[in-house]
Amino acid sequence: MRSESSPWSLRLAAGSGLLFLHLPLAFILLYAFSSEDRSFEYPPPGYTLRWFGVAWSRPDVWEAFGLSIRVALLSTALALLLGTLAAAALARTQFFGREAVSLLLILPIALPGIVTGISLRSAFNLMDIPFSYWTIILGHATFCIVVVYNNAVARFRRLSPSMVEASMDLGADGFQTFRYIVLPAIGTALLAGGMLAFALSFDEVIVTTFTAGQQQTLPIWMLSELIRPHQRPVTNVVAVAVIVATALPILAAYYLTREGEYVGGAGK
Amino acid sequence: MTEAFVVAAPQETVPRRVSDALMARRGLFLLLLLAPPLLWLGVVYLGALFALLAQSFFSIDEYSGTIVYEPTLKTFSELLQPANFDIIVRTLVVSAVVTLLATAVAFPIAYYAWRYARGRVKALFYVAVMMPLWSSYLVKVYAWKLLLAKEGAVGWFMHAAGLSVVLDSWLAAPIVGGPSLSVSYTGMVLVFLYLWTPFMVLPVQAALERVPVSLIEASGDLGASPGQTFRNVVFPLALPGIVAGSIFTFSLTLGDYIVPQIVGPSSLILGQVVYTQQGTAGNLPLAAAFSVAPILIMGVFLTLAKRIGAFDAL
Amino acid sequence: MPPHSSPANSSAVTFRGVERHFGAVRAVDGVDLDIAPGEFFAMLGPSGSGKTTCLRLIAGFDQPTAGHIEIFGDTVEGVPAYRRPVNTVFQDYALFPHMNVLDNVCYSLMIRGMGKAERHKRGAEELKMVKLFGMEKRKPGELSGGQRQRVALARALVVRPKVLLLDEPLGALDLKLREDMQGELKTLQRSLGLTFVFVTHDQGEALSMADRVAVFNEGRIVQVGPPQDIYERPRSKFVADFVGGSNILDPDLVHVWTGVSSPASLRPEKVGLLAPGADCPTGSIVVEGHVDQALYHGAVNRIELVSLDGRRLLMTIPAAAPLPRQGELARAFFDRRSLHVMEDA
Repeated sequence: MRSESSPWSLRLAAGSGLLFLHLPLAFILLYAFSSEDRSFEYPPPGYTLRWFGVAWSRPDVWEAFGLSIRVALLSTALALLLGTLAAAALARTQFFGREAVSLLLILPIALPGIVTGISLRSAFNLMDIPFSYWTIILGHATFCIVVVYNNAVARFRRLSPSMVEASMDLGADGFQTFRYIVLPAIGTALLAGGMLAFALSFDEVIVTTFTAGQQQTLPIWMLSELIRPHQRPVTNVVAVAVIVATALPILAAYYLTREGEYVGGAGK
Repeated sequence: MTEAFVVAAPQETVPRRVSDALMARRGLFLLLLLAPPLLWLGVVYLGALFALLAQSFFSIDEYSGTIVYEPTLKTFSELLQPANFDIIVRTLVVSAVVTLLATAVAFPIAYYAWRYARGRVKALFYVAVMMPLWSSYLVKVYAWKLLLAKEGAVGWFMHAAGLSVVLDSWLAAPIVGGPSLSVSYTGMVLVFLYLWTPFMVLPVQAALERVPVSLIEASGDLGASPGQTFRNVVFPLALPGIVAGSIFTFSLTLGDYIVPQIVGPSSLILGQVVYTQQGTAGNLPLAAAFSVAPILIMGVFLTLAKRIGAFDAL
Repeated sequence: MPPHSSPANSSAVTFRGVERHFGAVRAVDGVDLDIAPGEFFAMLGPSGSGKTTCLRLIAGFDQPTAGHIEIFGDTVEGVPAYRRPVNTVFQDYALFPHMNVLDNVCYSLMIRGMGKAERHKRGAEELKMVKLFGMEKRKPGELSGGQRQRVALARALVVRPKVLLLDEPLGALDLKLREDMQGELKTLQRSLGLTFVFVTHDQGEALSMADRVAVFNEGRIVQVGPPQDIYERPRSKFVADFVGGSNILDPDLVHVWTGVSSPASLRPEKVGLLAPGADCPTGSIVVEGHVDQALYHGAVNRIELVSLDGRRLLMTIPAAAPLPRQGELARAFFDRRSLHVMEDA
């Protein structure tokens, strides 16, 4: 591709757009080190590491963190199973109602979170189900399915059908083909999808608020802190921790799904 | 020179026989694959949506405050009261404004990445958009609360740049203004814009990626000015991506109740009403009725989007 | 293995009335076929003619809508691909990208439970047989097209299948490589004594490699026979034109020359240009006209003559002769016996 030089106005617009997206997070990092604990004063009057220690010793932070991790792990596991099955079914087959199924998969994310949340709450109310760890997972797994599905189906589509045929041609039955050929081909996509699902679940707050009852996941903890702050800088520190904790899976997922070679050793 | 080479046949195992059966009945195999996810989504999600719909047909007994499980249209009629209807309209307007602004911010980024960025730079662009997209929603809202507060960074910068007059007069303006940026429509729109712009960049770029850059050269070659090329070639091809992105911006804004609570003005938008109604007010049916509005709006949106072919850009 | 076998059937692959429909499309529309054991058999035809579908029916990737298929006497309807004594070399080679070359080749041995040391030894031997040296540890992505093809070949042959299927095996290679591989495949097949069935749209390939060729058109076989038969004695306009390109002469003209009212095929290389003033050789037919096109093709000149009554005649003449000018008056001639009258349409 010819590389031409772009008009400076475009570069300015694009650059400022990107800057707009990244600067606010940079400020959070700044505030985590601020010594001021009452207001959002800028520039911060002084810098300290004190708040990191305070946050470390807060039991409610750890409890919320633990719950978030457990919920995310189980929701991801469920989403991986269901999303992969759906992707395998939809990747290359045509059947009646296929479009309806794709729509159903995407609906939990296409409709506003509040709709999902309140629907689940309505259902729990009608069926007299009490809120618990499991009700949270029910919601999370549902909207995580499509994240896994998108990654899996993209990879399934890149898997050339002749590879599966070649495996069977050489004597491997369906299960052997899955184990030796299909699974290695989609492995990294599943990993990426799982990581994205984990990040999504870890960070989710809207649906969780409607399905959690008394428990606090980390985002719910943060939300209550935002509305009624106890120690603002601790919230800042937790925010920094969350940034780092979600950035890593995202980056990893990206590198796992970059354009690869899963096209079956094409002869052309 | 025929080699007498004999290899044993593969072992006959149970999975092998199951494989035989599934190979012969492709339909059954497909059904087995689809059953778990469909069952889950059907029961959990569709079931919940149905429950929502059911709730919206119930009502609250005004005196006891409990839910009356009898079908009625009373709750829906409450939606049509001016105060409530206002909320719906206001939320729609905010969503539309956010969508337009998001398109304006997102398009140059997506366009640059598509047209001029190659190899590593392109990958860098992609990561640069993905990172804020996936970083914690609450952290992002929180960051803006800090920035927009009276004593926060934005105010400080405006003051340092000698623009505090501009800021104050903007805050004094009706509708968009307020006591501080963090308690105004302006602040709210800004935060929504910040949150949802990445959702607009990605589909637009995906839509553009399907267009070979050589089309622009061809257009210029045939005599079109850059403006004409943009209007007639680039924009129509990017449109499905824009529509796909607006699905997100609309949907996310319609349902959000946290952002307006933290950086919004005192007047409520839809998400907040749903939240308060089902929470403190204990009026689940009304909350449900309010929620039907975004479902209908998104339903219309999705159908229109599908016609334009926006689904391919997702 | 399946319950019934045909008695005393010495055919490697048998098709009886095989049909494959995709909705309203009849990809295979009534095919009967007998491929002999040890034969190098070609299925030739334009795209969409059904040849690839027939190959897939043999391999087991598809099931016929109607009809009967046998492989070495055993019925194969309902038998999945992994149970058939048939292996395939795919058009895109379909090498497993996450395995190295040796593991690719040994795949079918691994599935059969052969121990690692033994199967690696076997695989290495197989690679030597297809003349691929030193590539065992490489991944398919690091190989050239020709190398990948050899790996695909070794992989398919390692268990000595009863029938080897090749789907447009040489299509992706450049000319020189293609010609080399044609010879190698032929030698390999002879030395192994296996039945090879290959699909191609390249008639040159079919003619040079095959013992017998089946020409497909619109889901049916229109002619089967040794390459010389197909080329010299095409039975229909389609075969005459598809295989080698030919002059198809109208029945009325043929009637004048031979008394038979049927179209006839005349191969361009059988037609020559009479030098001005030269006598017409005995037994020859002469056509007068003017040169409409004269193209240089390296080894030959392709000359199109338009006769006095407006018909076109194509001839290919060794390029030693000078290229005639367009519009020049000329006389084409050919031996009467070069005309092949076609029985079918």
